[in-house]
Amino acid sequence: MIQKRKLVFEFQNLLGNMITLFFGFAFAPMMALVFGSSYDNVPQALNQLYLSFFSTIPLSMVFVGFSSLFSQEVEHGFTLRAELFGYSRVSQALHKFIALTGFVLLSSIIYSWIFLSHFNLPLPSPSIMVQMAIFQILSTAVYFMIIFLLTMILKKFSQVYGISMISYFAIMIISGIMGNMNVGKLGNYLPIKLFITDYTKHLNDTDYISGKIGLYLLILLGILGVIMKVVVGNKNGNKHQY
Amino acid sequence: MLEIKGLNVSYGKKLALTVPNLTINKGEIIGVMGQSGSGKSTLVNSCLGLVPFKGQVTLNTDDVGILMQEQYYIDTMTNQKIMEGLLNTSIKKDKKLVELIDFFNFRSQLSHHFKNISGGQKQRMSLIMVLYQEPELLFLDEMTTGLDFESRQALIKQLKVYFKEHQTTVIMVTHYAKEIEQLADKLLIIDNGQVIAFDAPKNLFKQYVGYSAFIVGNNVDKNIKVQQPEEEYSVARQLIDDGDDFRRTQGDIELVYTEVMKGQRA
Repeated sequence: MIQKRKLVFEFQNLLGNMITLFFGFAFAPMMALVFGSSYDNVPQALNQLYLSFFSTIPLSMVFVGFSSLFSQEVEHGFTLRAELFGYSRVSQALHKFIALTGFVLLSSIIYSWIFLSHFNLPLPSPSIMVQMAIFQILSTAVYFMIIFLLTMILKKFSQVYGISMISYFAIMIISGIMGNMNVGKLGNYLPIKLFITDYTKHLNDTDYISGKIGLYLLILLGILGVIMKVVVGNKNGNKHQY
Repeated sequence: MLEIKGLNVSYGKKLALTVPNLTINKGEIIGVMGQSGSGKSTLVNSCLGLVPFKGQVTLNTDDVGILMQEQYYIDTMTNQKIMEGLLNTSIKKDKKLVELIDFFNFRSQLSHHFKNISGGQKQRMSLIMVLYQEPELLFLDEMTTGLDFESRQALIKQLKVYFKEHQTTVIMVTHYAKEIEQLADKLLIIDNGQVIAFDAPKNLFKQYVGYSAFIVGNNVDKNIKVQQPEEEYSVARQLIDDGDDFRRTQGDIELVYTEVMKGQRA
């Protein structure tokens, strides 16, 4: 099911997209270092900051980078061409997701190395690192499905990118990464809860991410998976169009 | 290879295409002509299941290739990487792909980016990828539109050789009569969503023009139809005496198309 050349193709595709590279790799360390310089001697604040921007990596990579790239591919008919050629939508989704997850994990490692070494903070424990990695993968999966579905439905770059950028900034504001907005009871709703940064306070609690937040993500993933199966389907496996 | 029965395609309330019966045999090359918006591309799209339709379209193969008028690939990587990625192969290790690349003289373009190559080269790259799959049934939708005369001629010449060698069944939508003259076994003419003619060009010529025709001043609207061989000499004599430039034809597709559109049989 996973083909090496297609995976390399999707990696190269992402590498060629400057928006993905900037927002996926540069944005989090850049912002975290800028804000972090104000809390140079407050380890707790730095820790909070580190985790907040850590959680923005999959969001930026998918909502800003991938949405621009994929919606242009769909609008220009590349997705359909590849699909009729035999590179089915499901296969495209799978290869794109794996490539994107690879980028998210790589970016997370680079970000962590830059931030933690710059502020002389200790590395998280191995069990926390594993949880953080799982959180990044699950978040990437949820964001990926949202953008993939949105693009399949709207098909136009301007519409998809408009919605994804508005959502991106809305999530950043709701989650408290940008500004200081109190979302009040709204924060108790499941999808909103997913995006707010409460979980970053619980990273020492090994059950929290694998438990509560992990469960939220898995439920959302399940719901999105069912919708994706209905919308995306899998057809035209043997047609070659260019 | 392809059988259509009672095909009806509508866009909203407008009936875009009606094809009562159409059978295309293996190895045949069908040229599809018609005005813009007549339903040519709708025919291709319904065969591919890309538009909803009523009726029955039976393709006797799953191995279908499609070449569209416009192509879009990723601009940020070289043509070689695109080909290798989409075909899931390595050019260095793939003899079949190398042969196709050489057949279409595309080797020098492999290191270029897709956006930087000419229209003709873009078509060649797409053709290489389509033909690499060795499709039994191939749809070509206005593939040479926008190409200059030389590129068009070169491409047609290469395709003629390829199709002959591989016995590919081809449905070719085009505005260029010369392409059909050079490639097609049968001509299908669509007007206002209706198939108005489908036969070998020679047969259509006989039905709608006659034995032969003299086209005066390279303008198909200005023609003299000849029904019997013995009439030809007197017609030619008259044209020479009048000092007209003319050419004689027994199969000019543009003339056939014009006469079929007029709907007057010989």
